[in-house]
Amino acid sequence: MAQQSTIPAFCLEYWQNKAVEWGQATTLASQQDVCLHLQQLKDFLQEIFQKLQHMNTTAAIKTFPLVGQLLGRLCWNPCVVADEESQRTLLQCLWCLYSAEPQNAIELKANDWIQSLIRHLISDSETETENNSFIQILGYTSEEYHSNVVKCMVSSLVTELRESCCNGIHMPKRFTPDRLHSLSVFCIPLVTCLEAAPLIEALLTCCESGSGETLSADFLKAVGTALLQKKIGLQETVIIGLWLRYLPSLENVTLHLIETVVSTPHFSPQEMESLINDSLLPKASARHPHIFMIVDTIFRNILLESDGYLLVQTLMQMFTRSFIQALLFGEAQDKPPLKAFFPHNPQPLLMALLKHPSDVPSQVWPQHLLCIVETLKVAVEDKDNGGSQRGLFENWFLLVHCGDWVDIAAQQLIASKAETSEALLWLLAFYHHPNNENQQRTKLLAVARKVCDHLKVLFSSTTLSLSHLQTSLDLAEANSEESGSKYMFNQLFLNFLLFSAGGQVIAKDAVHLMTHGNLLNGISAMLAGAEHRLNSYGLMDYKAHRTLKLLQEHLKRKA
Amino acid sequence: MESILQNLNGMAELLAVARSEYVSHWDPETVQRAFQWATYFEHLHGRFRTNTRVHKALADRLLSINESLRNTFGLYRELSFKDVGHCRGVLLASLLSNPALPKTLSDTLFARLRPCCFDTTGQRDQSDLNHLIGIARLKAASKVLSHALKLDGSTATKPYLLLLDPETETKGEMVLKSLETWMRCPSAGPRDKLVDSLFAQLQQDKINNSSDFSKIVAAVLLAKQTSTESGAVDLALKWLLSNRCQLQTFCLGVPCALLSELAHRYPAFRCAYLELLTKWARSMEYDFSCGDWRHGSSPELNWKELVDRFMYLLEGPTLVKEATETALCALKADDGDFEVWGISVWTDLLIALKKM
Repeated sequence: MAQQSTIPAFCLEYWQNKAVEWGQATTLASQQDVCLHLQQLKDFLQEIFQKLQHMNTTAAIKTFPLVGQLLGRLCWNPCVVADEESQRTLLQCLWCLYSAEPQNAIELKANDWIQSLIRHLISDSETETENNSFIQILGYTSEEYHSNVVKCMVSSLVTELRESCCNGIHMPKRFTPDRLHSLSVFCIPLVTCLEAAPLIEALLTCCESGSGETLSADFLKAVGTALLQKKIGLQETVIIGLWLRYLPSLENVTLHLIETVVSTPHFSPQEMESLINDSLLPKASARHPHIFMIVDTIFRNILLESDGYLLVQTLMQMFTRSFIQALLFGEAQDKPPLKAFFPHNPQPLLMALLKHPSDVPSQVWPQHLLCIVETLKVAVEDKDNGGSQRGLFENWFLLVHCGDWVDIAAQQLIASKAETSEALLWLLAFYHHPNNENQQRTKLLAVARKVCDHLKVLFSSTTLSLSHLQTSLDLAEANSEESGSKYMFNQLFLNFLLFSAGGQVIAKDAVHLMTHGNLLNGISAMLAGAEHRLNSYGLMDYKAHRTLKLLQEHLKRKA
Repeated sequence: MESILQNLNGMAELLAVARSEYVSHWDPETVQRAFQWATYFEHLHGRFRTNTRVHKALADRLLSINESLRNTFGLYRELSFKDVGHCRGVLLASLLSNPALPKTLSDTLFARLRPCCFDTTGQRDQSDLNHLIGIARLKAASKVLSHALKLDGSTATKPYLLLLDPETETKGEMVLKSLETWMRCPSAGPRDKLVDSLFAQLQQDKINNSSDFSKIVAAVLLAKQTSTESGAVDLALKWLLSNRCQLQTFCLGVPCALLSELAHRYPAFRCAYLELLTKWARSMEYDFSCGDWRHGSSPELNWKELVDRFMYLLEGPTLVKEATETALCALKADDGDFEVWGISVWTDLLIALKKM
């Protein structure tokens, strides 16, 4: 098994020797060897195909004289042929060697040989004549016969597995761990075979407990890959079971989700939500704190590496929402407490933050926000109880998970009373600068306070012109070296434009000034978020809707 | 609708010809036209797949088409509605595996597949290629699974069904399914004749030796999936029990454990089997020189075999066990109820069985 890491990527001779070895030996161990090398063989065949694609037959045979032998031997190996992907690549390679208009004797010979190989693969071969006549008398094809045989074998194996698993400790198990392991190795090429699906599922649900993992890691990896490529479907409990016993599959699913979201920036909130739910991660996380921790760690790392990339934040927020819903509405038995998922955050803060804005009536939002800010301040400034760097970070992270509240705070800020505004400002400042080592937060707070005061004055005035906003805009501009601060100011201005009495008129020009014509994407995303909030929280604000639509149209035309 | 049914006829004939030696007369235009027809039928299938009424009408028509073509062509492949959906792939596979296809035509077919193979962007229609890949996969999968089944498994507590290897079990089920389908045909003849002819055909098939055939019949009788209204299994049983010689060959070719399971399921078989064993035992003679029971004419019907068979019956399910015990005791009593070795075959049997 150690050789696997030292195989050179492209080594025709190595695989040729392997193919000869596999063809000659008839032991079960050699067949298993094929299955274990299957993934590498697939990669190798892909590489050969890439190279052969651009050559004609004669050139190919000159460059790789052994390739024909290799392909031929592989066609006679059932473990290679049974796997759909490897068979397809094998056929593609063979067709590269087939010449539509043969120019010389070699090409003619190659054509004939390829035709005979294909015939061997699909039709009744000479060694199976006994089955032949039997099947033909009944009027079936060999394909139907083999399909039925496979189903029969699968069902007898599944019955054995089920009986073996249902037995308690008192009855002797028919399936020893060794035999299970070997069986799982043989199932590697059959992972995507539809008729073998019951067997795959039975293997995964059998032997849940026990010392160590009995199933082969390559098998689990193959199942994980097939699931990700949507080539097979399994029941939810089986998938979650797979993640629990083979962590790389869980990591791959999480990374795949993040990649999909990041590479397609124009997902609507509904699309993103369904993407997240389809991945099964929220449900799995709700049932197993262990899974939640791993997924959360991956999110965190990506967030930090990408410097707080907005899409990742949105993803985290939506994931948390789905996760909390799964936790609340999941089955009653053995529900882990919140503490199990968030061991580093104080309970009051968890209770305050994890309640989603849509579950709190909008009149109550100001009080709830105040509550959040108070508990957060206590948690963050409490030096004795984990008020260290770690505690600060964990609490900030929790806030990122529940970033919806920060958006609500920004929305409420301009129209709020004096006592509340201070708290809300603090929340926004904390969100963008959790660390106050160099007094960045205090500085930002000061500037933001000024801007906010100014905007409050202008809030109810019906006749506004751009010049009224000029001072605030300049102030904001002067203090926007960091992207976090810039984001915050943009939020304030945008909310002002949407909800103030006279904002609609100057909206377009203000936005233009705010962005100097660039960074439109950020504004678009903010607008999309605002729209989502307006729609989902049932706020009947006709004017805000209009302004929103206006701005969105304007930005679309500019883009 | 009627025209569709007519065309269905045409399609079935087309596919039948594609598998026969008549393809040697085909030329490239014929191949082209054949594929166009096939495309039309796939399209048809797509339209009517969800319409149950039309679906049923087509399926029924296919049944009768199958029957008539079966009589015309020697080796015919039955068509199902599902096949209509893969018509092109089926046509392609039939042509490629037909040795009578002229070389130029097979070259054209192979060249036709080439673009599908190269296409990695998925824009071309890959259904032909997928069909071929599917066939090859199933063949290979059955081989891989047969390796998996060979993995060490103790036979000590294996239930009877695992004594039938999957190939035989499948064959039995397929025979049964064929029977049921044929019996459903509107113009099917008397059912007994159907069974007779089918089994006669299978028996005559020189490749199958008699032991394999017997196992297949056993698989038919033990099949799991059977629709009780069709009565196909009963017919098969009737066929088996109708001929004594046949029954004897059957009992000799099938493992004892299977026979005892059959005895459990079918009382008629139990009686016949016991009768056979009785007759066998009665025809044994005691050989004083070596102190053993022998059969006069057939040396293969030896003592050990006889004892083994009775043993399996006695170790079987309760009903069978009781019936056997009763029978043996009654026979022993009839013979004079001796307790000494060497006089009555029944006494000796009981003694030998008690020892085990």
